[in-house]
Amino acid sequence: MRYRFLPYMLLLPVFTMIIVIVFIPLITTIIYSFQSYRLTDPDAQATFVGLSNYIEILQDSRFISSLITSLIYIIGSVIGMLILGLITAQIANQAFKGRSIFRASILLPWAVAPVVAAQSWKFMFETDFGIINYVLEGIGIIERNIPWLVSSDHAMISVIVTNVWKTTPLLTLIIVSGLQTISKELYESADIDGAGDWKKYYHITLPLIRPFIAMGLIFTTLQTINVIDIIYVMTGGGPGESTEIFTLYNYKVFFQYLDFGLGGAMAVIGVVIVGILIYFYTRSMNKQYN
Amino acid sequence: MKKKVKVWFWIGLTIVILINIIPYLWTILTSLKQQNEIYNVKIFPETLFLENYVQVLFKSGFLKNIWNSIVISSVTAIMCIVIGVPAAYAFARLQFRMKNGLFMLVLFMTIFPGIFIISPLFSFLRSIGAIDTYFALILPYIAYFTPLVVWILTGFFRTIPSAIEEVAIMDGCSIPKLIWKIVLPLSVPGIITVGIIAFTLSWNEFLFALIFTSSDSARTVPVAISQFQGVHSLNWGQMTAAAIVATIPIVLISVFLQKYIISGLTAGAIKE
Repeated sequence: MRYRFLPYMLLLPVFTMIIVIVFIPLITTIIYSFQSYRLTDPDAQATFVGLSNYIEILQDSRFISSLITSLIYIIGSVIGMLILGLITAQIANQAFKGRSIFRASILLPWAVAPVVAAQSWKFMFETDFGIINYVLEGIGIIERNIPWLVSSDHAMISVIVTNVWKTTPLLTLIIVSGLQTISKELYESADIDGAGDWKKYYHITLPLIRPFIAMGLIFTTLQTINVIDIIYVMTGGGPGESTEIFTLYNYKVFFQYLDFGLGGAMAVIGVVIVGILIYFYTRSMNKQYN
Repeated sequence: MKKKVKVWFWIGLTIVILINIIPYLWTILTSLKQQNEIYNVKIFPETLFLENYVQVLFKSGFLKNIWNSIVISSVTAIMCIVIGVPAAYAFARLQFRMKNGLFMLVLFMTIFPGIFIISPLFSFLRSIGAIDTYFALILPYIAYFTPLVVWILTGFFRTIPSAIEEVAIMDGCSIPKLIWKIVLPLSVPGIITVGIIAFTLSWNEFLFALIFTSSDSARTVPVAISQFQGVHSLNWGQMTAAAIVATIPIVLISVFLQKYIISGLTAGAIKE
């Protein structure tokens, strides 16, 4: 009985922080979204305007296109991360000499700040003296320098590559921890049945690590839209608005246009979108058990 | 057949290592080059040109940014541990109502995008005059990174056998004393892990740092690097030198303590 309230007291500091720094601001954001509240005018008072921010933002073609851009960015990143992550995890799960060096190399992109990763890749994607054009030209794949970051046709590829490089390690490590839960016996009995490597991977490995992949994708997808650093540094959302994902646009509405009402409405829609994303992933994760 | 698999294995391994390290290696090489070597795409610098580092370290405000980052990240890491350990202990060992729901909430907090709450937070920090102080960054960082610390440590505490603790409780040891005297000493590896992770995350964080600072008095390394070109004109040599200075401590720590970090980053995914 003495300890009845103890668990809650142990949790109190964490949840106080969460409530003060996340919950109250989140509710405030919702309140902003129903107000006209611009910081451009220092004397401006927030006034209740009903749904007009939502109507305005849903009619804003730039917002709609930022959603589409986000979708392309996410899908491109997820495909890249899955390919690189599954291969890397498969290698990291083997026993071989120098495995710790291999694992250290996996951690390198994780440890580097997104801003630094963005600057490094920005330099490599430089049109005239970037190493990527230099190598591609050297081995004869391209004839003329590709303007990676300054043409709207290529900028998206560049930021996706950078994001995949930076974010895949987290997915890889989660997949590795999934691979380690699979018992060797399953493969041995498949060997007796004469199954080939690819068959074993498809019928044994993949189904068993599926919940881990889903879990890893929740983390990495959220990171992809949350970390605007990479796009902010590499293209600033441009050229035009070709790489402007909705979180970056949201940032601009808040802190460049200083419109907290409109930005609030965008943020609320963003929370809903994130909720839908998480729902999709957890559903595909739970399918495994049913 | 087996031999063929082996060859593919080593090819794959080499490609993956190259993908992971080349961007960083290229940044290091670039930081040691002179301007004309950079623009003529020389792979290796002819001489080791250290002027970029001298410029970055001694002729700009970058040392101040590094100092800001060190203070902010250290305080954040320590505070995350101080308030994270009791919570993780409660989740790992004690039974109480709404435990699962609260635990899911903690997990959810680790991935909640900061942009959605940043404007009220900005108004709040501005109204108390905290913009451009260490406090303005440390406060949200603690709130944002402690849930991850709790999540990882809970998994870690569960792996420690609870027999000793049960004996101690029977002997009349109070829970806070138990955490301090028995659980903490046993969890040093876990605490090192979350300490490094919390430090790294705050060291690398960009969005809050960008908005809640306005001058070098609290500006951290990532923001300084993102604004580098504006201040120093386009100078890739200095830019890359700054990038290396800013990342080398974290990179070395994670390479040498990789075991801890990997166990921490994957703790959340392992089912209990």
